Amino acid sequence: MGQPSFRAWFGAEPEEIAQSLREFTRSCEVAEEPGLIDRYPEKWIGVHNGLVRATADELDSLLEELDRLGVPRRGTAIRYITKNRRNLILHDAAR
Amino acid sequence: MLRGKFGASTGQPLFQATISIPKLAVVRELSFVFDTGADGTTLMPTDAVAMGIDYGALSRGFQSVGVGGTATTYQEPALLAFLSEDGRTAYGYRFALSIVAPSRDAWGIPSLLGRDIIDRCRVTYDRSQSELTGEVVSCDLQGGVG
Repeated sequence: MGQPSFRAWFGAEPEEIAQSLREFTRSCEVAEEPGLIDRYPEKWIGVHNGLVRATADELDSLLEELDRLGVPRRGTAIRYITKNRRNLILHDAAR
Repeated sequence: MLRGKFGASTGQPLFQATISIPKLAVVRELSFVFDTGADGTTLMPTDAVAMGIDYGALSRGFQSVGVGGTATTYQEPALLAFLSEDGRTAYGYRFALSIVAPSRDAWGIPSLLGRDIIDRCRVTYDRSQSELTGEVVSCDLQGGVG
């Protein structure tokens, strides 16, 4: 991977990485808002720059809609909004 | 200091980071669930598909074991960048990323921040105070945000 630098690793300087992360974090917070279940039950949503930009029944359809609207996938928080939350026990033992 | 957040809806402990997978020329911001039960940081299918990951280009797969059973998993060198709480420092990490193949039960499951990264931080997890922070003990790259 060459000499370690943020430019070499991520194609961007720390300032750009920071800006992108701040914007994405804001979109993630919007995607977690409890009120979304009333507006988008059993839907996939894509949040970019703090706004819900697209919704769909299926993930593939959501991605297509985002692309159709010209919303960059990068920086978009994607989440499935459901009342029927599964009890997640997440464990991943790599080989 | 890194700052995470408990999801307002899910209550999940979340950290956001920028991930780079050089082999696939992919760089994205992702939200990870802080998971001490995960041996390694894991990219789940929803995020992988959204990133446009070409599973055919990945290295030979193996089986990962979880509570729900096994899953075909691939492993690729990757990089993570976190931003400090005060926004002044970026921290970079090199690691082997596990990438889980799509399966019916895996959709909607968030990607995991595993012990390969967690072990390099000193974490405070206090749900009662909504505090989720990670003091960086070690990293592979560090840079000031101008």
